[in-house]
Amino acid sequence: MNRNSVIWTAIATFWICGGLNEGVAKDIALFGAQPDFLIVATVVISMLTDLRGAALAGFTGGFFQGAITGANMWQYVVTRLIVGWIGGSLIEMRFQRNFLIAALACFVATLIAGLVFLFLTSQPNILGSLRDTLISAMYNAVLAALVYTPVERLSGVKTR
Amino acid sequence: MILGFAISYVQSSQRNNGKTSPLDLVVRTICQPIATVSNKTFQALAGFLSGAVQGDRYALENERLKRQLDSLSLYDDKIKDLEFQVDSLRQLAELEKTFDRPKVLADVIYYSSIEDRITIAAGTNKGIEPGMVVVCAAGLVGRVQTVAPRECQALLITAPSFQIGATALGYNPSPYGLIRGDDTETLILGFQDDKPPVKSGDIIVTSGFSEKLPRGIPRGIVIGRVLNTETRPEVGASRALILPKVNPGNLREVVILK
Repeated sequence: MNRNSVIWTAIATFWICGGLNEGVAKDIALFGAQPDFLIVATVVISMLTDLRGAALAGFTGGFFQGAITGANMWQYVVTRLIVGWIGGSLIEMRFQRNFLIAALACFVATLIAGLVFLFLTSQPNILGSLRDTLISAMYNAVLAALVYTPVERLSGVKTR
Repeated sequence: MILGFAISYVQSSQRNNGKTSPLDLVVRTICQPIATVSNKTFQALAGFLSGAVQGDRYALENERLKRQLDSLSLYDDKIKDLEFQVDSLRQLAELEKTFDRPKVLADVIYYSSIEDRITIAAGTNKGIEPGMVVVCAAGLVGRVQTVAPRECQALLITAPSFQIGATALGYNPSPYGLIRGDDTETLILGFQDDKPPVKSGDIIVTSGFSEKLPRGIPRGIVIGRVLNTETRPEVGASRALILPKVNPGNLREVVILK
């Protein structure tokens, strides 16, 4: 694994996904639920590195999301750290790196991050938020499956 | 995580002063080129696909609209008369006064349903300040909370922390209450009276004056329509569920009233 190429790929991925989150996420919402490109980036990058790198990817994802949204930075950092940990743990557990695992990890990570976020922010409409989280999780899973392979190729990380 | 808390503290203190945190500004500035390009590409692609898929329907619609335009020219005098009446009604409802203020037209560049906030492409470069009112053709959108050089963020009326005086149209004396966000789709209008002074279908507008609540929101801006009412005799109060006129998810452009 070339560490530098992973770092540059991570920077580019977060930059592009941050821009997409700000630019088109609201336009491509399905049933009121937006995709979260930064969660997708966090999961994919965390799968290409070790647990420490995954934590850093989680922090970066949360930091970008909090900055773009303009509120509740720490809640985003905490939830995205969980996302990064899930992505990194799967690889530590010797799961094979591929787009299907990326999709599954993204689905689970979005659901867990969404639930923790609901708990931390005390959302008034729990059922509506849960529905949005579930749709977002499915949406993110599809995006992760599409994004994983090009990002893996760019980073030069070998599939196990 | 500690770093996250520290950044969050900086962010909150800056926001409470009506400013955007420098770190937020850096991230948004970095992401802006991609956001702009992706948004324009998406709009162009959506327009192209819509045109390609519905080309025949648009051609028919165009023909139909041309015929309607010809017919409408016959009603020109009637329209002028109605316009005069509308203007008079506006004066009565003080709407003219409302929109007599300097305004800034700007694009909505980001919407967060969880945070009930939108990011607008106008900042101190266009004279925007915290507290200014954000409206669109449908009605009240929210209020500017933080301002950066080229953009600002507004708290939407659906946010639970957004509270404002409101009244219903068509009553004398007007029933005044306090409106606040309930969830991303509805608002709650509370009255200090156990019998609700409004009914389903009533139009709710801003009451326009308040000592305690945010000042500077003019009277008569449409907020929404009453869905149903609820009596709460145990606390000597009543409340109405309001459906906002504005759907923030569909906002493309807004007007900021100075």
